[in-house]
Amino acid sequence: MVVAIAQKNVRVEGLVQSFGRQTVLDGIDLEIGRGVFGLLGPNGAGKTTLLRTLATIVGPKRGTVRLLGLNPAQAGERREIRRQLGYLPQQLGYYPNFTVFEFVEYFALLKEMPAADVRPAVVRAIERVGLADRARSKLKTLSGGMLRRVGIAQAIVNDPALLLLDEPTAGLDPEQRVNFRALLREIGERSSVIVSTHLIEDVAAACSEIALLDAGRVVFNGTPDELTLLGEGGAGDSPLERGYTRVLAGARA
Amino acid sequence: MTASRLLWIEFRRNAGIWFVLPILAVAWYLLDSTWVWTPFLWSDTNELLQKSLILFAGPALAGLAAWMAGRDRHRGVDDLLQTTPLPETRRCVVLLSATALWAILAYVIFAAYMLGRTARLATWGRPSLWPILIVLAALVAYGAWGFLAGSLFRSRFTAPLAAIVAFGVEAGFENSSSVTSFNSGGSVQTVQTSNWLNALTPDSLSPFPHWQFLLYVGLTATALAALALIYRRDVWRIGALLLAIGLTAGSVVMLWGNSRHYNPATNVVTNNFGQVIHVSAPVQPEPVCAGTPVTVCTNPAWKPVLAKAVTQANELVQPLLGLRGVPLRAERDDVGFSGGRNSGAYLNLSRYADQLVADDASMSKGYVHNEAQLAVRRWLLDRAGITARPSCADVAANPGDIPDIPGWPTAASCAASDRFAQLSPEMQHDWLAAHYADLRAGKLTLADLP
Repeated sequence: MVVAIAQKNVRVEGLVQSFGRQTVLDGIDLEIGRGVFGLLGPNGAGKTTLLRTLATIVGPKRGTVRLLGLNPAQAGERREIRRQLGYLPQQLGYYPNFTVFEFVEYFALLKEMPAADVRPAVVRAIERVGLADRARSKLKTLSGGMLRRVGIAQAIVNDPALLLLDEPTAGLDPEQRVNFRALLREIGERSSVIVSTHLIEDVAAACSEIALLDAGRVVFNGTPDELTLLGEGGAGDSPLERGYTRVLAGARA
Repeated sequence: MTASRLLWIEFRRNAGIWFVLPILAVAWYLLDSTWVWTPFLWSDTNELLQKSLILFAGPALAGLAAWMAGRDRHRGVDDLLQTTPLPETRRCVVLLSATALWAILAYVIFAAYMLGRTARLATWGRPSLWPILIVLAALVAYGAWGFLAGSLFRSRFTAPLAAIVAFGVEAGFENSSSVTSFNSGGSVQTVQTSNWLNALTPDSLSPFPHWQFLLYVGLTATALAALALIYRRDVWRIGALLLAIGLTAGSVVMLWGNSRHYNPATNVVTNNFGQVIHVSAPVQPEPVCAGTPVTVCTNPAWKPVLAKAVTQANELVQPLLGLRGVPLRAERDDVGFSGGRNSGAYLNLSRYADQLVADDASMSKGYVHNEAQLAVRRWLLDRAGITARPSCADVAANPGDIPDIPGWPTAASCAASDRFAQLSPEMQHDWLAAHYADLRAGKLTLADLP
């Protein structure tokens, strides 16, 4: 079943997540449509927890989440969401003895892609991350940056309507990061791409909208240009960085 | 298509690949150390196929499956896997199947070797698929329970513990008389199965293998249903678990109920349901005979080693040929079976050697006890290259340890045998021509030997 991409692929209202007594997300409200959405924030702000919630790994403690117009709390709808989901975790686990092709194919199969589409989709995903010449290499022989690209390949293999990437450019060399940003923009034309990152230049280059998280709350939600405009008097080497530090300082004050 | 492709990837990259060679090595060791190698009997091969390898392969697979169940967590892939739509239970079944397939492959290689070898040599009996099916079902059951343990208890110690517990369970099956009946099918062996010319039971394995098979199917189904409940609880899964437990319990009851007991006093076999069992009549063999001048007759089951026995028998009788009264037919139970590994199997001619030096009247309860007869018998065996235990060397090395048993050599008879062996062939022949009749009648002593 193919679900038409809703106007807003991600709707989050009053989302609360906590682990034990510690509240990690504290009343998040977000609406995200097609395009590349940047998730910024300091360490421990709750970016990864938000992505894990959107990836249907953990259910919300409170609040509502709707993805692609479906309710992930319902098993049947969650399964449909997962068919159209791509996810790259912050720490990519992998099977060392699998080849690049096998690993990407494995996830294509787990995403219940039609059998006839799997092989061409795997080939295309591997080509898109620039690993075609290493398709038959075992994962244990790859560098950290190459493994990151394998992770990206498995995330995009099903042409996801919702792509969640947790620090995807960590470990990529500058050339690969440039290529990757182009890939993000291309995917963002048809899908919702949410990228969690510490790298401001990635956000500036690829994101059409951003949210800045701090201590489990959204302290800014707007475009990179709007964040830049708030940067007067802030610390940092670029206008966007100054906006980032200024907003954080304001929120903490 | 999706499932088969997933299975293929998991199979190719499964840790079970390391399972095959060690298991085959254990199989080879087991066969090598088996004190009697009887590749000529389908009934023995069937029993070996069912009972030998499972003691090691089952626990090993349980441990491996437990480890594989924790693989995704060890590798840090569990988060990523949770975002995929394929139900976890189905993914687990694929992974378990891929792991079990390696164990199955190892066993199938072992079984194919055994079946092929037996088919080449066997002259009697028939193969049975049940032992193979039962072991395959048992392997899958061990794998399923190991996988369940690995899914429930997420510790690095789960895999070795699962293997140890499984080994204990299987060893308990082997040793417990009540549960052994599950393995042996509770067959009561009222006749010897492997002695020369004795009757042979058509099949010493279970007369109700389908219940055994169903027991393992039930155990597998129980483990899988419990595994499914870990990931999702609904009425269907609970119902499946209850059904699987019911199947297992039903099989246990049927196996217990059909376990047989032989009462020697009444010569009646009954089962636990109180029914009198009519054991199928043993097959009476038609001996096969070969050879000249000595004709050796044996059970058709041992036909593959008959030619070698004829050669040895002729070698044994060679110094006596032409003498009056030399037995030229080895039959009755005077040719026994013994053997080592593979082609080491042979027909034991020591009883025929008895006949050569002693007539029935001079033997005591079927054994040679006259020392002159023992000395000549020993000389005949030695010159034919037939080793009989205990040997004279054993007697010399442990004079006090060799019990005084009829038919066993004494130090004096060994010394006389050695002296006789020093004589020229002409002198030996002349002495035998003059004294053979008296020797067989038991009228000579060691002092009469040259």
